[in-house]
Amino acid sequence: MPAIVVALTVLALFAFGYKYYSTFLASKVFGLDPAFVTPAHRFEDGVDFVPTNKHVLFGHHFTSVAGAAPIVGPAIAVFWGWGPALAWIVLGTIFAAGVHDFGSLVVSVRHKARNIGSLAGEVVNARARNLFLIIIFFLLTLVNAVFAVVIGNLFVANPGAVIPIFVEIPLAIAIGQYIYRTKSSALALSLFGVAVLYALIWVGQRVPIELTGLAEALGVEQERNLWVVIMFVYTFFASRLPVWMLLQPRDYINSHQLFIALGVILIGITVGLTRIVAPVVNDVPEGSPSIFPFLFITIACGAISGFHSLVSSGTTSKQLDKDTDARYVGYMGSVGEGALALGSVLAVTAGVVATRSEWDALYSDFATASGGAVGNFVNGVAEFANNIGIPLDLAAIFAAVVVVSFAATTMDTGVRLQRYVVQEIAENVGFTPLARNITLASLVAVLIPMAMALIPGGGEAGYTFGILWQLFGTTNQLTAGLTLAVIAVWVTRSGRPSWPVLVPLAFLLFMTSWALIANLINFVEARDWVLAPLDAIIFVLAMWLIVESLMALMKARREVAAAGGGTAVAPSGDVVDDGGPDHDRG
Amino acid sequence: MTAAEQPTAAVPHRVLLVREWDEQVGGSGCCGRLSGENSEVGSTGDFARARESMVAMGEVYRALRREMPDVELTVVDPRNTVWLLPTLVRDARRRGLGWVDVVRQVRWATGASAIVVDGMVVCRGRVPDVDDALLHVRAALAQSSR
Repeated sequence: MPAIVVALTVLALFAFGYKYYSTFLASKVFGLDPAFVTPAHRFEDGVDFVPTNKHVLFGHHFTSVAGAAPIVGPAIAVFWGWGPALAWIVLGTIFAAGVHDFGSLVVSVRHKARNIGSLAGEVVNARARNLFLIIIFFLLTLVNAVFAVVIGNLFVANPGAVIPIFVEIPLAIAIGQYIYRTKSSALALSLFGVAVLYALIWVGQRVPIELTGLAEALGVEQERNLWVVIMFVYTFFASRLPVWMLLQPRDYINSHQLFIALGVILIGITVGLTRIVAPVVNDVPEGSPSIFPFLFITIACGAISGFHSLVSSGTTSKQLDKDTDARYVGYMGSVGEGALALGSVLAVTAGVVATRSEWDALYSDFATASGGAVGNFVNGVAEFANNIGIPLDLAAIFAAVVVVSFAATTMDTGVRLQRYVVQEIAENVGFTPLARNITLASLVAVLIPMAMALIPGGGEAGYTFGILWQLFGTTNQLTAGLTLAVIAVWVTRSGRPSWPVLVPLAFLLFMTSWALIANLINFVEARDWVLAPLDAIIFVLAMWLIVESLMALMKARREVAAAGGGTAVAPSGDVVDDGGPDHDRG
Repeated sequence: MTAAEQPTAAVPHRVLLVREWDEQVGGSGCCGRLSGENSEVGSTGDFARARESMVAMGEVYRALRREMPDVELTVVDPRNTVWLLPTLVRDARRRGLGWVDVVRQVRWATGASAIVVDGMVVCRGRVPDVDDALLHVRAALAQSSR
């Protein structure tokens, strides 16, 4: 089937979901009110609270939520066939992610633009804030582990990408210094940076960097593992740098790369008339993970992403001009992420190879599919780029550079965030040395995910990555579950129908728990004493979340019943007190 | 009829205040994201520079809002290229600028901080004090044909 037909069909379904389902959510579930005074107006200060045109806000919101994860999950999940993968992306985006992203924005706006963690504490109960922190801790641990493996695999498969990526670091630092010291145009300089980065692809192709010899000399079994260690050493130091020095200038470069990559995929598919060669439903080998429940945790971002609520409730809710704009900004943000996942599916089913038998070899079993997924995406995008005239070998390095740039930024951010979470948890439990020592906290933030990336799997790259990715998916879905629970409690208390929130919440928690139990049994049978305890802890968190959600929902229903079946909150759903904006952090 | 010759009488004046938010934008939104004052977890000190610019531009924003309530006032992050770039080009063309001037305005407007009136950059490189900003914006609005 031509890839463009599938792409247009999925985009039409997204448009259908936006036009009809988000309208239903806006009017019947969230009760958007054009007369509601948003925090952007109520606390307008031109600093944090700024009423902003919805198109400006969407541009900012979408650039903020888009990342590398909606690429990786779908690239693995086509193992079960492109039909189920796309079905979950479409249904998840329309009925789960849309509700989650849109709902978290509305709930935050109705609570003086507060963040989702503190809202969980207020709307659900005080324990939910701790639950939120613990889930984020595990999520970041797994994010850092999986992206280190992604980068390691890509460097091994595309040694030409090493020079551009490592030159990008001083390049970004130099650009940052120049922009902030001379007050020059960030756009012009960052476009220059992108041009230099892509010019270095040519250099990288001629001087590929491989560590096979060094790995052998050091007795490291796999070259990939050496790259994993190098990446964690790099992030240990990078996460200590001031953000304006590396992270912010690289932000500019990455935001250009996002749109360049999207453009290459779209134009490449259209020009090349590429056909999907993968099966709609794949007949997977016996002993493979089953489609239920594993598809639904393998594709997390792209179908639903818990981290979006942090963006929605962080700055977006402080800039929402009208209550009714939440539908466009929040729901379309999830649609944008779904479109990225669609691009990934097309790259690994239509772009990567020309025949069914070649595709079958790439997805012969789950370990091969998982280990090769990101490489398949890179090669697929390279094929699309080749359709518009870029030589294939250079195009493959280009695609690898784009993915590694995003993944490395994710690691920089993840390690730094993890350090803060470690310090906050240490502070909460009264372990002062860890709470106050940045180096110690950074070491914890680096060593735990590095162990996750290196120890399990007995050296089988695909096995390690596939299982770690699934665990990442479960923690991501739990973050989304916590946010959906907050939204469900708020909707219930407002007296409006809460099933559009409860159905995706129940579905996610059921699939996540099922996957965790299935994996736990496998880990125990395999005597995997690294992943089994990790899985067990995440399962306990899932159960904790289910209990807290049920208790909060039942309490909300009792409040509504006590109010005579009406609403337990103000009619607009706004908080009753009329004080100034709250500060979410201590 | 060129874009610059299109009738523009009904279009309100637009003032863009370009400055960064105290947060990371590209590359990590779905798996973790750093932010300053408005973050769930993190350190406000991380984005102290951006914060300084936000606070200074906030004073300009409040003065403009007070003095010129009819002007369309928009605060935008220079990293929001997908909205900022076409808007700058459209506004500058509407003002009647040639393409070389348009490119120059776009380059000036996309620094860490700038004030743009109907496609014309009136301050760039640093956030001006409130009186200077009002003076420049008033002068640019007087010259604008909108």
